[in-house]
Amino acid sequence: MRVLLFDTCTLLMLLRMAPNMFQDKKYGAFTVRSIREEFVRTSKFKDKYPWRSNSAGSIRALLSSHPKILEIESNKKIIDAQIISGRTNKKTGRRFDLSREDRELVAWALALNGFVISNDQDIEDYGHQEFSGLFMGRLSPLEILNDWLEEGLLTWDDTLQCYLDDWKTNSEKPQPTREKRRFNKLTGYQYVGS
Amino acid sequence: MWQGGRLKEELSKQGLSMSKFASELGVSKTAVSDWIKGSMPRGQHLIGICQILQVAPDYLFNRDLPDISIPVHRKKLANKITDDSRDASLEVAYLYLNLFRNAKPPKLEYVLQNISDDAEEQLSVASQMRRLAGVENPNPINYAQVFELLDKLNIVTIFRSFPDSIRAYAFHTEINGHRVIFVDIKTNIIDLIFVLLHEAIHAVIYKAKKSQSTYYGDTEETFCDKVAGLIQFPPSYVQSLIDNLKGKQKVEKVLILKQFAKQNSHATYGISQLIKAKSNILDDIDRTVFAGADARIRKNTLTIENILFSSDDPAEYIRILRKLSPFFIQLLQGEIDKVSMSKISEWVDLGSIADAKQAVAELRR
Repeated sequence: MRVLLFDTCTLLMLLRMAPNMFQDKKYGAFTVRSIREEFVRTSKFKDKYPWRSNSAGSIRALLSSHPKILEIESNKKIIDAQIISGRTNKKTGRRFDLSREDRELVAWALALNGFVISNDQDIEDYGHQEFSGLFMGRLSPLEILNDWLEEGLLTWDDTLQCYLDDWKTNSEKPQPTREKRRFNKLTGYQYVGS
Repeated sequence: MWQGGRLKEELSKQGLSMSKFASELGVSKTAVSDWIKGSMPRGQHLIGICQILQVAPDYLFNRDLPDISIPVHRKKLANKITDDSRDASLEVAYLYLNLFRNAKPPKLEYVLQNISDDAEEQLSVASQMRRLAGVENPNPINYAQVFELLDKLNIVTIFRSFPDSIRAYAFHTEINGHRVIFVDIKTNIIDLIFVLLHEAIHAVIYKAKKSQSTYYGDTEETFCDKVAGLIQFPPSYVQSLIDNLKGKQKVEKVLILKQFAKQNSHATYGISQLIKAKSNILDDIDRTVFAGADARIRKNTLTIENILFSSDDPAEYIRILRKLSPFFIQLLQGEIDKVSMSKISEWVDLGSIADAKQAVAELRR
């Protein structure tokens, strides 16, 4: 079973489509505690995701009692030190600037041989540049959605198609073209997301 | 920063030759030699180094960076500043390192070359500051004028919710040559004005090198207190209060002070101290009376959080933030398309990426 570690943006994109993604082990979905906590916080603005707080209870977060926690903590310290020291992305020439949340996801992904599910290219570049032998990779949410459809975990319908339309409304990052084509083929629906 | 020397020390301590260590780690001897000379290893090699040598990653890095000054705090009677507090402030400042590293160098800035204990000179500095803030009347400076002053002094103000370990309303640090003041959004306006002025004076005092101490020296602290007090309360305001208090009974005096304080958004305690320095008119009133009065004023005064989130409309939030901290908004606008949404969310500290996304959408308009 693949371990999939979701960041907040991708969790917001997929949770409504697969509400039991954290309950059913076949999905392989996990996240970190700080991300789950974000779902229970009261929004400062009129919420674009009104369903968010109701879903918080279903999110499974990795625990600090995990058997690999020492390794994870050590990974976190290494990543923190590298980012603070100003490690540069060799592809872009800019310094990596992963948020604390992103650093935590990478630290867990390294220890659990997991994939980070994110729209952020910088995570992928950082993982491959610094941990080429250990980092499994970053996957886009649409790729995961397609995988779940292919595995029969989800059945596409008009409601899910509406949720997909919200990706565009909410200005989510554009998804890979290859995956958009794959989606059209798998569902018979036209891809309407971002 | 990576400390190659520590690696060398540890190899020597553990009796490991560079060749043996390199072979255990599966890298060339040249790579190890480069690391010792100062080049930072890749992440996966850092993991290997820590595992083989059984050292914590922290041991191989120095947390003090050349482009950031250690945040220092006011050393106050009951306000015990601990290493934890300093470290927590540094952690906050680290979140913004790359925001300032990627920013253009700051423009020419107002600098105070000397710290003087001469009352006339302190008043002259305070008067200059009031003029910079655009204060034209003899009233106490208000919070909007304070933020105007910070802007004129090229100080970037960043609003965050401070962790409990930071026992301060605000603190100043310098990041990549930029003057930065972090403000705890939970702070009440009546507490914030003096503190912001105090930190602003620290920010503009010329320093030959960045601070490596946890505390400011007493001379600098006293100077900042005096000047901040004079900026907030010009002598004519203090005198007008004294005139109003003359011949009044104890209860009346407290009521008058409270009335002035409410009208001008300040606490009674600070002004009472300034009055006491000039006159014995308040000598019959215990300081606890002012503390009680201030607690009641605080209940009816806004916090920075109340001001920033006075509406649930992200456009209004950005408009207020732009007014209070225009430099910060400029810096964010330069970076919004270059970093992840979770990083932006961390910078704007809205506690939620969904909120941060709405704020960013407004910044793009």
